[in-house]
Amino acid sequence: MKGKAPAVTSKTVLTQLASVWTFGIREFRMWRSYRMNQLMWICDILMSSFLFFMIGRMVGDQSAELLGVYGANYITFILIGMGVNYLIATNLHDPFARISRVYWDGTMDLYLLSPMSIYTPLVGLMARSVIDDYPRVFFIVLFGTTLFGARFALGHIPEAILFAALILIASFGIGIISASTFYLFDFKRANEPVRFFIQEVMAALVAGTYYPVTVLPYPLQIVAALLPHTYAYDALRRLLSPGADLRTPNLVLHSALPTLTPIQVDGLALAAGCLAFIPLGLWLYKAGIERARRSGTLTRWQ
Amino acid sequence: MIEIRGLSKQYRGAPSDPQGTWISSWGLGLWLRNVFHAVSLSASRSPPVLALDDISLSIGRGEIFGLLGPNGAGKTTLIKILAALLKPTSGTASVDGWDVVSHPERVKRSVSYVSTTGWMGLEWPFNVDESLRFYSRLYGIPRSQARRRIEEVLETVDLGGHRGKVVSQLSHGMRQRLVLARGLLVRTPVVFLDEPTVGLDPVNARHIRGITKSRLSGARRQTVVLTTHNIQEVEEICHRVGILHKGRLIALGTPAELRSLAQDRLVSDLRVRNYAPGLNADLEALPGVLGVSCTVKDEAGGAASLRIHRRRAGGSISDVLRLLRARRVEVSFAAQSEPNLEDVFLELTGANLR
Repeated sequence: MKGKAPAVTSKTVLTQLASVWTFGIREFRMWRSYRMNQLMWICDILMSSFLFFMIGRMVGDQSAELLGVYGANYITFILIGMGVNYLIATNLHDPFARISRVYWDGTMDLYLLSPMSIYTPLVGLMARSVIDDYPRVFFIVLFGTTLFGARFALGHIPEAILFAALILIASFGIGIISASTFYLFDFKRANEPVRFFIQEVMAALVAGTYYPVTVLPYPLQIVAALLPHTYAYDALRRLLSPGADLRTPNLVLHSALPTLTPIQVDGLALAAGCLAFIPLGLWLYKAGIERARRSGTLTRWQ
Repeated sequence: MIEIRGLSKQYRGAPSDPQGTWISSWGLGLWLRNVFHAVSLSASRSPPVLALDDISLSIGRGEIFGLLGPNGAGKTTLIKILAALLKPTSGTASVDGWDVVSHPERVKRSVSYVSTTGWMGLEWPFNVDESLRFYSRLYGIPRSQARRRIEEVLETVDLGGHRGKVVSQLSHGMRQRLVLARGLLVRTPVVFLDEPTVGLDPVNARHIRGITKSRLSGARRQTVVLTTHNIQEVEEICHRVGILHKGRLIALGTPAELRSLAQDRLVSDLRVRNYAPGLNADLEALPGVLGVSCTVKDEAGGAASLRIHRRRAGGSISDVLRLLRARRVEVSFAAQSEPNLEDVFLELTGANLR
């Protein structure tokens, strides 16, 4: 019996990347066949933006007082919240949904039999999210600026891109943890609790998508401090809203680290989220695959 | 090529009520139940299932090895272990020199799998050509080689004229051939064929048997593990056969060696009319009759096919025919044959293979 497997080389890394690209083509092909879907989400963004535009008009002159450090334009505040929420919700929701889909299609069996890494389909199948969901942020900005009076500060674009990347990575880490439950806890029949509690319960209540977290009771602000969402909303609103204040702390963690600026604290919190969630997610996903390999639930083929 | 020593697999017992009560089959209750089950906090009420029990065998390079057994015998469990998709409970198995437990990634590079239904893993958004290109990329086949191999396998499975069709436009047989094409595309040392001819017309089935024998085992010297219920298929192309029953390997040898296990038997095939359900028991009571299997073709007219297993010594076919005449059962056809592998299975287990 042979003993040692050869080490991972740059060639194998390139092969995995080629497989990710191949999945991208597959997902693009599927995305193209759902044109009506794209029309519907554009309508959805338009309607949501219009709704918040009307709420913004109602808030009127009180915006500055309500938004505090985030400037005075409620539409801008809301549209940044919606855009970031799209990115986070996609990264949290899609890994589980994509794994579930290919499992029930029976194609996951073949992927697991191929020489690909177990993580390659997980990353590759997210191409659909990149194609389908991420561009929604562009439409939010487009409709907001052209139709509803949103204005964005353009002085900190590189920093904003960095924060967007950090929240994408951190939320994808939670998404992988969510996907791992498919095999780890055999959540094959229904939804799973990680995404539900983080996105549908905690984030919906306290992360501040539609209002600043400072309006929450203090105990809920502490809960908000545990979510990466909170720091992404805070940093991106401060960086992109005209007239926003970059130096005044307003989150629990800002007050706990007074020597750092709020933006630095947000950056550290998101980086910590990336460093915690990505390795944890990868470890749990592998543990889930191993558990399913022992129990016989790895493949749909029985 | 494949070495198996003392291999066993025991599954945890399934919940006695898989749906559970409403509180454990919905929302929070379901989540808690699954988590408790995963961390072994909730003991299963059902006993564990022994799917494979102390299997040992070796399969050589270029060999076509048939796995025979009824549903639930452990065939798929064995293949899943050999494909590194399932961990054994005890024992060892290696494929192409790689241990299936410690080197699953290497094992995956050594095996390819052609499924039972022809649907598994088909990429619905792609046409035939794109589907094969997709898999060639996932399997890391260089682009220059992939084009040539795709042309070759399309010609082999006779799908060249349908390369532009998407999966939904293909017939069952074409889908089956596409799955086979995918298996041929990847030149792994070991190929698992899980009932590759189920649902195919005789011409296509013969074509696939031909490919297996001449191309996979012959020209390429690939090891083929074939699971099937088709006895004719096994006898036609398999070099050796293993018979699995309730997780145990109860017989192993060439088809001729296995047939010799039932050499004291004869088989009579009869086509009759006016068959009545109580007839089997009366036939089995005759001297020398070991068993009767019956397929009813037309219930109203009592048309049926009978397969009667008899000892060579003791009793004769005349006793059978006399009893049928006495019961006013008309015999339209009668033939006597040597036992096949299905009869061997019956001899060894007392149960039917299908």
